[in-house]
Amino acid sequence: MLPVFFAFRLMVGLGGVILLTTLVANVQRWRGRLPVSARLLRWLTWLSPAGFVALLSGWVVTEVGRQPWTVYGMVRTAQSVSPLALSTTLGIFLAVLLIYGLVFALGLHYLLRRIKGELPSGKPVVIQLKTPN
Amino acid sequence: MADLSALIICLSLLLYLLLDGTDLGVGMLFFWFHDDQQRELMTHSILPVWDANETWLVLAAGGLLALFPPVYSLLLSELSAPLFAMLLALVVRAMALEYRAQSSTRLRHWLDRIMASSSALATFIQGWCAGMIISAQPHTGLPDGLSMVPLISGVGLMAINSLLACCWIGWRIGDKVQPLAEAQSWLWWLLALLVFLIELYLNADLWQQSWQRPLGKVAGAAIVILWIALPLALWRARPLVQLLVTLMLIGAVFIGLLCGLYPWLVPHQFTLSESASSPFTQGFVLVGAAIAMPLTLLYHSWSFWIERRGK
Repeated sequence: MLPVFFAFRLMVGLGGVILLTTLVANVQRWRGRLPVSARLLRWLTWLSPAGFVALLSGWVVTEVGRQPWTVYGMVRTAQSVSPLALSTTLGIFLAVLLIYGLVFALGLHYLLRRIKGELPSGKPVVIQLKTPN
Repeated sequence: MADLSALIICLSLLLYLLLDGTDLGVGMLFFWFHDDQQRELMTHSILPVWDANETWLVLAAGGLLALFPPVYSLLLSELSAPLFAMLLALVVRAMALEYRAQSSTRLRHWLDRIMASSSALATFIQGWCAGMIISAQPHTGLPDGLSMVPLISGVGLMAINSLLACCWIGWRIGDKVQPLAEAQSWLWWLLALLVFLIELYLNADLWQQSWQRPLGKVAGAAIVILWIALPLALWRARPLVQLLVTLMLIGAVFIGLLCGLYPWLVPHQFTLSESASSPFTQGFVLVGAAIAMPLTLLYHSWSFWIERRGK
């Protein structure tokens, strides 16, 4: 199957690239040059989404690659599907997409802002609750 | 053996109701506590524990799938839309809770609104689902979603969770929230009692069945005593005692209900022994549960202990 073919290669390829980058970065660290290796750092920025992409393609490999089975060799997808109306399934799917999109976007927004902002001062935030009795 | 399996699931479910009930309630109290400092303290009182509390829901649902697959399949397909709505409400709630500290004032107000309404929605759906399940009928199965018992169960759970939360923040935070929490406790107590009495009337059969059993009698007596003890604790303004009494009350009602349902898992649809998986599967899962549950309990108690000692 075509998607599985590409997804598998993408997953393994990205995994290899990440592993290689780790090796290079560690070499630079041992040489004490990690904070000043501009090309490596720029490359790392570009590599940020690689983990996500590898994970998603891995997911495609297992889920698409297993068809037409739910449990390989034991239960077929056609046998294990719930008797849900198409509208219910679609509704749930859209709701999940929407909510995940929202959570992910907001999280990414805060993550990027945190990266852009100043380095933390190292002082912990202390919130004092009442001393419990 | 099927009884033991059911016990495991019911225990997880009860722990979920008690623990997450409290922090869902704190979320709902955002409707009434507007002061920014109050909300900040309320958030911090549940921030370290809320996600651990929700593991019990995962354990209960996972256990149901492994131990009583037909029931799991019936409930998740018949109640799929409300259950997904509840889970997504929990996801959104987590977002509002965790991102709160990061956001600007304007966005924070939105997140707080989301926090309050998603907590309320999740709580309502949980109560509503419980109402759906206990009022299943011999031939027609689960009742109409708009019938009285599910709707009022949802309202009841909202009231009792709010009461739990009032006691919790009164205990954890103290003076800064105390007057309002105390005043609200009375309101939630009254509303919860009202709902309980209506439920008693509407599900008289179930509670009669419960009264036939020795354990049901104990639970029934405990329920009466605790309903009376609660206003006494409220009157003496002892938040920790109130919290414990409310927790025990929920436990007693839960046990009373189970005694009324037994041997049905879903009334008139599935009995425990009919719907249990094979003894081998049950044995496998039970051994796993015997290892995982004490560990989880230990870990939770430990984290509560750490938090209790203050930061």
